[in-house]
Amino acid sequence: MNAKELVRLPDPRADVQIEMREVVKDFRGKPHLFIRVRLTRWHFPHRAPEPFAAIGDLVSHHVVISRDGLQADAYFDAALPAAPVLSFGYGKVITWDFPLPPQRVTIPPLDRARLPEGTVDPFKPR
Amino acid sequence: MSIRFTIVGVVRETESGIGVPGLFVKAYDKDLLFDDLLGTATSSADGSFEIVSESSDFREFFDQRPDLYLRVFTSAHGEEIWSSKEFVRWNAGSYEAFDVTIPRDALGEHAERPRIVFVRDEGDREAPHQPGESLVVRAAGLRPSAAHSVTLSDDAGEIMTQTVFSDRHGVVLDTVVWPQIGIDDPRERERLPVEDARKRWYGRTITLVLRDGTRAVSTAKVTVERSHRPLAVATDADGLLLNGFEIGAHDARLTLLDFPKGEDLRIWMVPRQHEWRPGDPILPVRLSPKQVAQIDVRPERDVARVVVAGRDALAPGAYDFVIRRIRYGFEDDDDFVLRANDVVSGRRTTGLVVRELFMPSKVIRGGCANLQQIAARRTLGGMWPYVQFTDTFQVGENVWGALDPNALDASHTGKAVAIYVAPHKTAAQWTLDNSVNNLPVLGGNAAVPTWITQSWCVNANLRLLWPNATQVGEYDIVADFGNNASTLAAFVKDDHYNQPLDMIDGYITAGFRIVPDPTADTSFANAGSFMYDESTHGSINVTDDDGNPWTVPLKASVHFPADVAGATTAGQISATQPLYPVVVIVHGNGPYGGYLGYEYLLDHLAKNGFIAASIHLEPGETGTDRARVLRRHLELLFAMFGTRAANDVGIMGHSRGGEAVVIATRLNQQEAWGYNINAVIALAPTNQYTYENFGGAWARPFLVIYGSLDGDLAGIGDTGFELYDHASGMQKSMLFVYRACHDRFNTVWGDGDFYFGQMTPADQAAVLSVAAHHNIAMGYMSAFFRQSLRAESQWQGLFTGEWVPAAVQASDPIMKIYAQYEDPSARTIDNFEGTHSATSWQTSTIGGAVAGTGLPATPQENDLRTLDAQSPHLTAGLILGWDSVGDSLRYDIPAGQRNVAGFHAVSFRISQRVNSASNAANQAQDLRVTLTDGSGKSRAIRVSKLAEIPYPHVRGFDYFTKSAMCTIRIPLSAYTIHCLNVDLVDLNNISTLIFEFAEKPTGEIEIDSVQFTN
Repeated sequence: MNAKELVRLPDPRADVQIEMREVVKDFRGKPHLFIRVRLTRWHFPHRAPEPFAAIGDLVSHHVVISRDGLQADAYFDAALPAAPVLSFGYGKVITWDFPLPPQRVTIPPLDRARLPEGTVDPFKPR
Repeated sequence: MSIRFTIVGVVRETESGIGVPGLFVKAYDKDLLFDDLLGTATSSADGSFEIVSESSDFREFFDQRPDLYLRVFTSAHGEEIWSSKEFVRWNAGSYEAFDVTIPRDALGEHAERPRIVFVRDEGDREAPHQPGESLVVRAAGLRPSAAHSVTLSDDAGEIMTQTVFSDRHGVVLDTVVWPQIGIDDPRERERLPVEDARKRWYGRTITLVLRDGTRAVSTAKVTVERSHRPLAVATDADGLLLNGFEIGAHDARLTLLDFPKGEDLRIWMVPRQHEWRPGDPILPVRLSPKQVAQIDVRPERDVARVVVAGRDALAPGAYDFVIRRIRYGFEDDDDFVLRANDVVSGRRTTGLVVRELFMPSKVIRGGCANLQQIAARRTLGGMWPYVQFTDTFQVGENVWGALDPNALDASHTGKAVAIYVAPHKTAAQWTLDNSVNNLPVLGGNAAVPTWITQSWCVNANLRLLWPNATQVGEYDIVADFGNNASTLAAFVKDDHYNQPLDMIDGYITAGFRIVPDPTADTSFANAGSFMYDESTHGSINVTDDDGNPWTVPLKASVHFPADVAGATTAGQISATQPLYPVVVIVHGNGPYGGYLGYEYLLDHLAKNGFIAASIHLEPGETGTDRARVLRRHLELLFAMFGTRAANDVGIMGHSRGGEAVVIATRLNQQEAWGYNINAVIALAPTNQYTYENFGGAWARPFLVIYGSLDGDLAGIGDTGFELYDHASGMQKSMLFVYRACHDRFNTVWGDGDFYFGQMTPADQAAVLSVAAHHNIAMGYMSAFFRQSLRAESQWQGLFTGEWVPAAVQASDPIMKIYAQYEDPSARTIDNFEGTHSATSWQTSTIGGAVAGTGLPATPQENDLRTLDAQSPHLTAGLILGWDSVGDSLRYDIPAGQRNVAGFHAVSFRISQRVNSASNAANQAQDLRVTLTDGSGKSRAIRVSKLAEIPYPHVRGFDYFTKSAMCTIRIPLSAYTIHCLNVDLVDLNNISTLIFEFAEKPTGEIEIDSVQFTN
C-alpha cells in the first residue's frame, strides 16, 4: 500500500463540544451558583464510581450524566483555572483528556441582582 | 429431476452414550394419508447408520422435500423401540443428521455388554502402545455403581490387580491402570535405565481381565511396540526413572528418547497440566526473579540426558515438560503456546513431582497426623486441571479420591493402599477411637478399593470412591496402608487410621460433605412472576447525595413461589406456607433497565420460598436516594402480598445499590420504617457517598461479594472492602472472588465493565464465565437468605470460607474464593486500632506484650493503606516481614484471658503484600500458628493444611492489584486432637500465641483481627 493513500481521521476527542456558563441550581434546598461545563458529542457510560471533571487542579463539585450517556454536565464551584485540557474520569481514575480552547474562555457572569435571595455564590469576591 | 437425500445418524445407549450396533432403522416421509418409507439401514458396530433416498421415493403432489421421521426396531421384523414420529422434521434438507438415544431398559438384549478397552495416551484407541506411555482403560456396560477388579497379566503371569468403581451409568471413565508401561515392572525390583527398561517390553502382549466379583465380564489385549515416537522421561543421571523426589535431593533431569539427532530443541518446565491441547498457554516455571525454567539443547544420539533445572532452584510442586523443535529465525517458535507437534512429557502422567520434606510438612509439627486432600471431582470435557480437589459435593455427584504424589512420602509410594469413606468424627471421637468404617452403601470394609500408589502422578492414584453420593452429611477419607506391603497380593488392611503411616482427608475438619447445593436446590417447583410500573404505581421524588432532585418511576419485576406454572398475580402465591419472607434487589448505576438483569436470581429465590423483587432506579442516582426508593417499593410489595408477606426482609444491592442497602438498613432503624431487615448483601458495592459504619442498633447479618477483576470498581479505595471493615456487631462475611468482574452478575449490563479501560485484554480473557457469575450469585445469596431469613444453619460454612457450593466450584476449574469472616462472639487479641507509634505494636489490644524474634525489620502498625498504597482496607493492621524460618511474632495472653475453651477457632486476617520481593511469585504463603499453655505444652499448626494465604491476584494494571486480606480460621480442636508424639494443649490456660514463619524462607504480610472466636 502506498503511504499517500492513507487517510487520517480527526482525533474524535477534538470533536467533543465543551460549553461553559454560569447556572443556578437548586442544591440541598438552596439556590446555588455553579459554573457548568457541558460536554457533548461523546459517550459517557453510567458506571459505579462517581464521574468527575478536572481542569488544572480544580475538580468538579459533581457531574450529572444524561440518561442516554450522550451529555455530561460538570458543575464547578470555583473559578476555572487556565489549562490545556479538561480531564474526565470516574472515581479517582482519569479516563479521557479533552482539549480546551487555547485562548482562555470568558464565561459571561449572571446578573447577581436578578438571582433569588439567598443564592449561594462561591464566586463572590471575599 | 430427482434429488438425493442423505440421512445419517448414530444410535446410542442413553446411560453410557455408547453406540449400539445391530438395530434396524427406518426413515419415513410423513404424508396426509400414508407415510412413505424412504429407506432402511442397520446400525454398525459404533451405532452409526446412513440411509440414502431419492426424491422420487416420496414426491407426491406438491412435495418438494420430505417431512422426515425415524423408527428404530430391534431387527427387520422386530419390536419398535424408538420413534421420532411425534417430532417430524418438516421440509427436511438434503442432508439430515440424527442422534438417537435409547434407554438401556428399552434396548433389551441390544443393551451394551460389559466391555473394557485400552486407550492410548493421546486418546486414540487404534495406535499401538509403546513403552513409556500410560496404559489407560475405559469400560461401559457394567453393573452401575459397583466395585470391579482389573487384572493385568502377560506371558510371565499377573502384573497387578486393582479395584475400580463404575459410575451410576455403568461406565468407568478413562483410568490409568499402569503409568509409563515398561519403564518399571511392578514384579521386579531391578531398575534399568529407561532406554534399556523399555526394550524388555517390545513385542509383549498384555492381557486385561475385568471382573465383577469373581466373574470375568470382559477382557482386552494390547501389544507393546516400538514406534519411534519421541519420548521424554524424568530420570536421574544414569537414566533410571526418577519422576518424584524430595526437594533438594536431585536436579530436574530428562532423558530424551528418539528425538531427531542434530536438531535444536527448546525445553520448558511448566506447572503440571493434564489434557494438554494445541493452543494451551505455556507458562514456564520461574526459578528465580531472573531465570525461567527453559533450556536449549541439540541431541546428538537417540538417547540424551539434560538438566532442565538445578536442585537449588526447584520449588515443591508438580511439573510437566514441553519440548519443541526450534528452527533458526522462526518467530513462531518463540510463542508460548502449545503447538500440535510439541512433545509434552505426558498427557496423563505428571512429568516430575518435587515433594516437600515430609516431616516438616505435617499439619501438627512434630506429630504424625498426615492430613491430605483426597476427595476430588473429576472435571470432564478435558477441562484443566482434570482433577479438582474439593471439600463439597452436591447430592448425586460422583466422589473421586486421588492421592496427590506431592504429599506422598517415600514410605507411601509403590505401596498398597485401601481407601475408606467414613462418616466424619469429631476430634474427641477420633481421639477415643481410630477405627474406620467404610460406608455400608459402599459395601462396608469388605469392599474398600485398593491399589498400588504411584509417586509421580495424581491420575495414577485416582479412583471413583462413591458413585452417585446421595447421603447428606460430612465424611472423612482414610488411606490405610495396612501392613505396608508393596503388592496387593501381600497387602492386609487393618480398618484403622493409624499414625504415623496412614493418611486422612478430614480429622480436624470434615474431609468433604455431601450437601444439597444452594445453587440448584429449590423447595418450590414453580415460580410466578409479574411486573408493575409507573402507569399503575406512579413515581417517587427523592434527593440524591449530591443534592440533586430525582423523579423515579416505580417499576419492578416480582417473582414469588407458586403452586402452578404461569402464575402472574400476587394472589396466586403458593398455599404451601402461610407467610413468605421478602427479598428486594437494588441495582447499581448502568444502562437504563438494569433492574431486569436479575431474572435468573429472582426465579431461583422465588423457588426457594421468597417473594423476590428487583426495583428500577434511574441512571445517575446515588446512595441515599436509592435507599428511599427501596423503602417505597417495600410498602408497595407488602400492600400487594398483604398478609402473605412476612415482615422478614432481605435486601441485596449491586454496585451503588450495595452501598444503598447498607444506608437503607440504617435509615430503617433511624427513621423507624418498621421493616425487619434481617439480611443484607452488598454485591461489588461502592463506598463513596455516606461512608457507612454498619453496626450498632442496626447491625444485621452482612455479606459482601466482590470480584478481583472488577472492571468498574477496579480501584484500591471506595470498594466493599471498606464497607466490610467498617461493619461490626454482626456476623459478617466478605467473599473475594478471584476473576469475577462487575457486570456479569447482571444480564442487562453484560460485559460492560470490560470496556471501561480498567482491564487489559489478558484480564478480559481471564474473567469467569457468565454462568459462573450466576452460580455464585444464586448459590451464595440464596444460602445467605435461607440462613438469615429461614433459620437454616447448614450454610454457615459457606460464609466462613470452609466450603464452596459444588456447582460454583464446578463452574470453573480453578475457581478461587477467599473469605473474610467475623463472628460477634470473639475475644480479640489484637486489632491494631488506637494511637499508632513506632512501638505501639508491642502492646496488643488485649493488653499483652507482643515481641518479634529474628525479624529483619521492626513491624509497623498503622492504617494499612498508609503503610501499603495497595491495601483495599480501611482499617489498621500490622505489616511485617521475615527472612529466616526461625523468625516469629509472639503474643502473650494476659492472665484472666487465657481460658479459650469456649471458642471454636483461633482466627486472623492476613494478606501477602503486593509487589513484595519477599513473597515468591504466584505461590501461597505459609506459616504456623502455635499455642502454648501455662505448663509449656504447645502445638504448631501449619496454616496451609487448613486454609490458603493466597498470592494476590495480579491485574493487568498493577495499580489495581490489591493486598486483600482473607480470614484464616484454625479449629482449636487441632490443638487437642490425638496426634502421636505431640502433647495436648490445655485450652483452659493458653499463655502465648505465636506466628512462626517456619514454612517459607522469606515473606511479607499484613495482618489484622487476631482473635479467638466462634
